[in-house]
Amino acid sequence: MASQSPEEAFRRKSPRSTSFSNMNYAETPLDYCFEVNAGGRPGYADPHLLTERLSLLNDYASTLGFVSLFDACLSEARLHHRNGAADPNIENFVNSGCLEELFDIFGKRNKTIDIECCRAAEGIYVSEFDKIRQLDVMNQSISLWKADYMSAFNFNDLHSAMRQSAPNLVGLLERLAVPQRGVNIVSPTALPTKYRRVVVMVIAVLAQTRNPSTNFVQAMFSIFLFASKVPKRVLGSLSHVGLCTSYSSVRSALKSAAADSRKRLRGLGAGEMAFITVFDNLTKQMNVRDRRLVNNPEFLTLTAGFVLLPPASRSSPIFSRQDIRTDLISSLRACDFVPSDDDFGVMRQTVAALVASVVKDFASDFHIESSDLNFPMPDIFPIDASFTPEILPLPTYDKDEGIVHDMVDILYSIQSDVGLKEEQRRHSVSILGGDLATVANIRYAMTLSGGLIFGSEGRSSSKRRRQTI
Amino acid sequence: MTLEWAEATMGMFHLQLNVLAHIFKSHYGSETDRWSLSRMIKLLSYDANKFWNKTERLVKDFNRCFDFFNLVLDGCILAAVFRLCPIDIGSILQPERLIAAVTDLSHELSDYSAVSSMRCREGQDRDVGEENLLLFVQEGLMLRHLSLAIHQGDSGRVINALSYFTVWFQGTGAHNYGAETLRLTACLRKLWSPRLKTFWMENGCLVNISRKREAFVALDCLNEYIVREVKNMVANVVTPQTDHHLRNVLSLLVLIFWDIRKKMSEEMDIYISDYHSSKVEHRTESRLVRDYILCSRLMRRGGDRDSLPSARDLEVKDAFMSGLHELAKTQRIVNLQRSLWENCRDMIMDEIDNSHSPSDGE
Repeated sequence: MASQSPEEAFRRKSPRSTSFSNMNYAETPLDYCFEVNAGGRPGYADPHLLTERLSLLNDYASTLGFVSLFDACLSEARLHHRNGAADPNIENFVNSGCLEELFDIFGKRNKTIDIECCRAAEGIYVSEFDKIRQLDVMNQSISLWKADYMSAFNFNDLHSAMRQSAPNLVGLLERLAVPQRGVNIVSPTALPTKYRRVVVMVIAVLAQTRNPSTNFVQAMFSIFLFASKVPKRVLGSLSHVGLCTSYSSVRSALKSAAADSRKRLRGLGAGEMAFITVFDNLTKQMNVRDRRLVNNPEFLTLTAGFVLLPPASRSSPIFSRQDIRTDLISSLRACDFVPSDDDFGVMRQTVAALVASVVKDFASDFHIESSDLNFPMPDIFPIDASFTPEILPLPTYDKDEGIVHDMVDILYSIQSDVGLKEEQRRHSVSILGGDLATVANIRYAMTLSGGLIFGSEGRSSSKRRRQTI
Repeated sequence: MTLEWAEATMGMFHLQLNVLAHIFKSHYGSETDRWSLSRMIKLLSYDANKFWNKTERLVKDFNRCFDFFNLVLDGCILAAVFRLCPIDIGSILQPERLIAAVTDLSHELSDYSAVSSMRCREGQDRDVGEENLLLFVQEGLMLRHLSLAIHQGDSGRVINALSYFTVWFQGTGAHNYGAETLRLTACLRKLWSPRLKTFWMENGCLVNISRKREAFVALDCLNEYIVREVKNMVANVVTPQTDHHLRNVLSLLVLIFWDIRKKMSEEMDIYISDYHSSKVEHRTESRLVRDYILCSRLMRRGGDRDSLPSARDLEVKDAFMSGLHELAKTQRIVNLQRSLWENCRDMIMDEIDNSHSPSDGE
């Protein structure tokens, strides 16, 4: 390609230029008029005679009272800002990425200008950050525990809410967190979860620094650390860098959650639905460092348990005494306790399935494929695992279930804690479970509270219980 | 105040634990026996003190004890299948033959009168070791049946296993469990209304809190978890304040703590080891047990009587057949009826009191 002389370049006709002689404009030193058509985009100016054109424009701007073209631009932007109307020219300029390029060019030339550019964007980031701080999900108070907090704590949901309120701030943090290559941050849904977690944590720490009440994320972390048996001093240290709340906040959160749990327990009786209570003894040896006559190691004996509330699909109204058919007691015969023919059939099928499963585990020893053996386990009354019951732990009672008077107190405490009404206490039946000793002691306590003493049959009258009697 | 609202029932985890303890008690034997758990412990070089208290004859560590029991039982079952389907090196076993062997074996192992019949043999024809081994396999399969039914969440199979253990416990020395299993069976078969029985089967026996398949546990087993967690939260220095905080705040939150640990592990995409555990495979140990049984000719199926070893084992009680005899005497059922009437008496008195209360206008 033959090189073009400056003279020729000067005289070359631009595709967007029109011969001045054909138009009705005032004469310019450039001989041509440059006209932008309707489809013209900012940032794509005709390069032909660019320097000369810009020089001409600057001269013209100075004759109109502007120091430079930038000064004229600022004046125009101010004018439109004051009018409150969006200028399509400015919007078009920004949307085409020209403003970003302008900042970039300024930044490379001069660090001071770089700082100025960032400072110019500060207002946008700060206003977006304030919007995040106002989000309801960030301001949930953990000291007023609600059951749905567990589901509300979700990094993806938090990230989406933050991105919606503050696209630029979250976008900036994503840009900082994500490596330049290999990760698509254009689409928020395509952003890997690990980056979302980081962005949420950074914003959460900053938000809590601004306002200590904006601490939902930190509070959940604090309870998690407490539940993981992290020492108190670790919680204290982490709270000073904004990663979790203080230990006193954790304690108030726990108290609130416990009160919520107790309220839920108390409402069981009013619900009129059947539930099951299970409890057992808890024994722990409490040692002493310096053993003395009055300072000896001793056993701490408590009683811990829970209440099971079935899922709606398996729930039933509370049972009455008529559900225990006492009139059939006298009709019990030996044949009622012996496995029936059906039971034998089930047992045979089960034994075949169990033997076959062992053979399958050792299929290589028999040189066979495990699929060759098909002995299914019988299904009689399978429980649907997809519906889980609600488990409500009971308060721990400072009572020893092995002492009959304590057992009476435990049962009274349970009936009070689950909110059994007087009517229900008199006419309803609720299942209580536990190990053999618990069950025997419950029955014994029941007879004692009713003024009756059991016969010795079938009871393991422990030494301790006899002493109590 | 009245407590008649309480209907107490025994949990299945403790039942399972006690069945295991009784199997160990019956079959522990001594190291010189041809067949005993003691002999197997020696064979596999296990430290019995880790899971079995020899002096008090109690299970020390249920998981270890059950693991040992399972690997021995697997070895016994393998030996029984090998006896029916001997495999020569290089030969190919037809699957049909193995299917027939499993079918035959299932009939043989579910015949609970087999040991009684074997014990009717005369002097030299008897092999006490073989009888004890068959009893162990039968009882072991019953326990595995219960355990699997619990894990798989089939309360119908739990009741099926319970019907066997009700009889079995009558033949052991465990009178408390004998009485309690009788009582529960009576309730399930006759005394509870169909609605109460269904409720117990759906909710009162097993629970699954993780929605995973085969993650069911007995209710009393879940309570063991709660007890353990509360125990771990007991402060080293107990003061009235720490005691109150533990009993009235932390105890109520045990499962919220469990939930939040689980939730965090999900949110962070991390693996928390205490929610999953994979068992260490025990094929080598089971093969060792199998080889011992085959080499000791403990499963001879009638033949080869001349070469009976001189060692004589102590006879293990056939608890199932003894239990049937005990039930046939009916004394235990009468005792149960008496005990049930004792429980009901004050309920009936209450009903009478209510029907004659002044509020009725009488």
